[in-house]
Amino acid sequence: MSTTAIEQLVRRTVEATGAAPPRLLGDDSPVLRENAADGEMYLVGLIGGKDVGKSSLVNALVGRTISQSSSHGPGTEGVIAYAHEDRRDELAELLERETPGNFQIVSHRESELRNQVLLDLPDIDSRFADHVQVTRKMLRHMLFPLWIQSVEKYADATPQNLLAQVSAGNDPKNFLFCLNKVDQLNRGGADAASALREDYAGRIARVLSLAQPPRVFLISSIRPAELDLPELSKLLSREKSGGDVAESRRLAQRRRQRSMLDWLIAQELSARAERLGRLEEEASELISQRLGVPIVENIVPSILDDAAYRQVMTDGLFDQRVARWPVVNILHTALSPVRAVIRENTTAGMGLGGAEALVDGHLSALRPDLATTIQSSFAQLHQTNPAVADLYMRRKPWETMDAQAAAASLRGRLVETIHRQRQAVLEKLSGGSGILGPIVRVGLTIGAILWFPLIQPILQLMLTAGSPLRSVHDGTVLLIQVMSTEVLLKNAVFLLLWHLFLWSMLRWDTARRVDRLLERWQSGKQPDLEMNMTAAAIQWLDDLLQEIRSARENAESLAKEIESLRAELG
Amino acid sequence: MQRAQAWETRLSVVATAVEALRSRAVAQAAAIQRWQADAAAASFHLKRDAQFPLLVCLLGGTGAGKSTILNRLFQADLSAADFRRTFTAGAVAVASDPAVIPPNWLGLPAAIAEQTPARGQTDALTVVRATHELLNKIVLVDTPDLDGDQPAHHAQAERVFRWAEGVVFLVSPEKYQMTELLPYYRMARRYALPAVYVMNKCETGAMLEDYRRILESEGTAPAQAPVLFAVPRDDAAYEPPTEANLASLRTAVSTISRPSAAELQNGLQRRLVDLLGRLRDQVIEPIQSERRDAAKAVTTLQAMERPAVGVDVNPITLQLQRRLQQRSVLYLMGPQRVLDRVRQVPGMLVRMPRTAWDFFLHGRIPAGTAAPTVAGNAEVPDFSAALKDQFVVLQSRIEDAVRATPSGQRWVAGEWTESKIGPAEAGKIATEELAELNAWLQRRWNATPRDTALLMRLLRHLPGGEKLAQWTEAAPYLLAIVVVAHHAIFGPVDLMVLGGYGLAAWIVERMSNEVASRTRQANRAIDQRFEKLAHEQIRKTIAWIESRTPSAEQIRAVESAAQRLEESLAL
Repeated sequence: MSTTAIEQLVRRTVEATGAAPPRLLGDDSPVLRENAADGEMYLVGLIGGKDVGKSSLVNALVGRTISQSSSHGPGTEGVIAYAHEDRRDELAELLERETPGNFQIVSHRESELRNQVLLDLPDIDSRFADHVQVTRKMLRHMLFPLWIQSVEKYADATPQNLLAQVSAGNDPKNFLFCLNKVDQLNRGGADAASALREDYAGRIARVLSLAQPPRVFLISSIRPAELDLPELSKLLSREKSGGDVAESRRLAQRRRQRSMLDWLIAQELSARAERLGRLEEEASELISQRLGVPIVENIVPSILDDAAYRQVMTDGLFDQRVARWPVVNILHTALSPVRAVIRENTTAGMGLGGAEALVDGHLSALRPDLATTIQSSFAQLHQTNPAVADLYMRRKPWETMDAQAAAASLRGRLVETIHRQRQAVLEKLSGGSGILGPIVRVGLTIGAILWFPLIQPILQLMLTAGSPLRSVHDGTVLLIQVMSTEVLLKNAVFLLLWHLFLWSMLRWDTARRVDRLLERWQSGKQPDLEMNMTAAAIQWLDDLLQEIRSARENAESLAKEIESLRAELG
Repeated sequence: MQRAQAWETRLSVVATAVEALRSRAVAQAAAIQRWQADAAAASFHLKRDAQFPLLVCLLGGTGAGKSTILNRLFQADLSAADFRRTFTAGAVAVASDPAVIPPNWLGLPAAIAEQTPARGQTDALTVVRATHELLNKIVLVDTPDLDGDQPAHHAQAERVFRWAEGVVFLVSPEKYQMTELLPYYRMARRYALPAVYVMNKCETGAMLEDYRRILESEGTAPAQAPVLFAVPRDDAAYEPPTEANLASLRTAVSTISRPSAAELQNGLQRRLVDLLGRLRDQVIEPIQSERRDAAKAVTTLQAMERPAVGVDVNPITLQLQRRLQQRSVLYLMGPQRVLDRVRQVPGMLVRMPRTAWDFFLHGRIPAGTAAPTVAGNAEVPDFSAALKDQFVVLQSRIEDAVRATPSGQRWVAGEWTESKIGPAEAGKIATEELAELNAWLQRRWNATPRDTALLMRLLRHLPGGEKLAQWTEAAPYLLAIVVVAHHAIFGPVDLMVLGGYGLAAWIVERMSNEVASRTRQANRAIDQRFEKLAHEQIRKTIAWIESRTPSAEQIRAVESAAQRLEESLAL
């Protein structure tokens, strides 16, 4: 996993838990930046307090005076870099960016040191705050800090704090530790020196939590030929190979990733996920017991069983189908007042208000009402589990307003489902676009009107009489026979009954088809979630616990990613 | 010195008031403790008798050579010095006689060192007895470092400085710029502590001059030019001038003396002013802001509306009401009964085909199509749970109100449950009231309705009256027959007759309805008791919040004591 990905992970964790981000990600942290674009060049810098002998050591390492040593006054104020001629521009650009105008580059032409840049830096315990800032800024680019301390100051708190911060993003293997001014140990001699080396190494090991105390170079700038200084200058007199630098960069990157991982592990996300999981379980149990069971097992079935529900479903379709039947539609309109009366009596008035009234009527059967139940259930959760208060920041279902909003949302979902169902019923069942259909419809209605009162009697008379119309007189007699009150009344009653029969057949057929479709939607065999009221209710119940679930899922996925990161980093 | 005494008295009043705050101001406990330690030091200075030797401390960073210089001043190994750093862990006092060190100085027990060199211990004052002309007028105290990697050492050094009457600042070329000493220079000047500045391991005169410049430029040097001394490093060629060498330092240290009474008083006054400033900034102000948060929470809580109880025991009593109604003579003889029957007819007729069809198809009668449920059979809600729920809603509201302030969030995270009344208490209200109601219902179940009883009593005086009462059940049907017969024979019946009959029956029925009044009574009782419980909860929460912070009186006591001390300082 790349460092950017881990940083992303850290940021997500901060968002999820509200914890303070690790210090190494702070904007002004003196930690090695991974994207420090230094190319092949690498920086070695001397980090130390006032008058510990940084400049003297630089001079001793370089072999000439490039930095003015000073035992008093403000000391080195800016960056003094010792670099190869070829690197001058590149280095100047970097320094100009970090400490504009406050640097000096001393160049050389030693080909063995083409890539190594040696830096002398201001004091880290200076009373001038801008001096400290310069060093902290340079530390962001410094792959190989050389920590230098004097026998007097090695136990100071300030450098130790800085070391601890820097080590969050760089491997201790890249550090060099020097204890300067060993010559001042006039008592004790060599024993004292090694005891001091041990003491200093022990303190470093404690700060860096190292199992093995690091190597400490005991040096004395005023006696360059003695102690560990020759070894140190030999170490720094040849540049590191590209492979070594790459390895060190890799180590530093690993260390940076490791510290972020340590921070991530310290956030205990899997414990958080477990906690949230328990909360979710508890919450879903409570919600399903208080809301789920009554809604899914009582309210929804009672809506589905309600005659008004079928009517809501059927009405539109029936109207559409009837409209296509020529005479039946007139009858249908004429019957509508009667139907309204019947409906009001059968469905307690719900049928007239459409889907909204239907859902409202059934939801109002809940005791105590829906909003109150939501409110009290969440208040219960809120009281037994303090984490709920932080999870439900945007809406607080234990407050009246939000509980009412949640209740309205359930109503909206059920109504919407009914509307969708109705729409689907219309689309699926209205049909009637064939060629045969209209012919049959016209034949059964207009045809009946023409056939029974006119065509049939005329044909009958004509055929039974055995002779076609021969005279106006015969025709007139026929007409008068057909148009007699008796025949007309008989025909009118018959036609009314006939059309009523058609109307009721149509109604029965519509109801049958709708019932079949509804049956299919509601049955578990072919669950159509869009059309299923139970599914809508369950969806709503799920949404009530959305905040807890997404927090849990988020924590779980973070925990999993952290775990895989841990496995990856070893 | 009289003024010092007056100040001391007033300071002790402040200290007592602050002590009273401590148990309640949990968040400020550390600040209060620090302040109290400094107040104890100030009080020591106020009471200090001028005839005792001056207590002078040696202050400096790690490795500056505090213990070494001390030993060199006395020309004896008294305080253990080592090339390892942060070696001295506690104060070491060198005195000619341990008795001259005031008891409980530093607020720590004194331990006389068995042998020399003595090594300082944390949480104790090590006392070394020594005979030296230096000690005629002073006691010299070695301190742990101020800037090392052991925070306990800093605290110890700071404490010694607070209790000291004179100070020897010790620096080295590597350390003379250290920022940790700057506040101490400033305080030494402000509090009129006689100070001596020494640079150990000095290499050049220029260094000493640079140190002098720093002391002056930081504005931390005393009014008169600071007295600087230099001790050269062993191997340095530098030799300090005579007036600044070790011998002069010895003389200077041995002759450190108390400043004039006026100066001393000024110093004490500034010390107290600083102490009061810190009391205001670090103790009173945070406590007051917490207090304000508490007041805000309390105001919100007091204005809080309790949630509606939402409990109506009507379903329980409906059944009895119905029963009593049906047993009532007036119901039986009134038109209500006929109307009830008639009203059910159309619905039943219309539903009949559907019901029959469903019954034929599924073998059951769907819920919606069955006859409307009788109210008395409706499921009785769990009132106790409803009350509990409403109570929990109230508690959630209270918690939200308290959480609205930063301090409130801290309180809620703490022992918040202490402030809650168990929701079971609310449940108990319903249980108790319902038990009472149930007892009443059971008593009434077999009783005769009031109107019937009255009617029976009246009819008893008529001959055959009891029989008449039994026949009253047939009254509506008789009436219907009479009306129909009247219509057929004599024409329409006056509607007024029918209406009057109905109205009279209805009025009497209402009048006789004792169940409804009992229902209302139970509802009211539950409502009132719940309200009382809600108020109790709010009161308890308020009391709990009040107990989280010192009371306004306590804060006022501290403030007014501080005010009085300030006034006496200003005089």
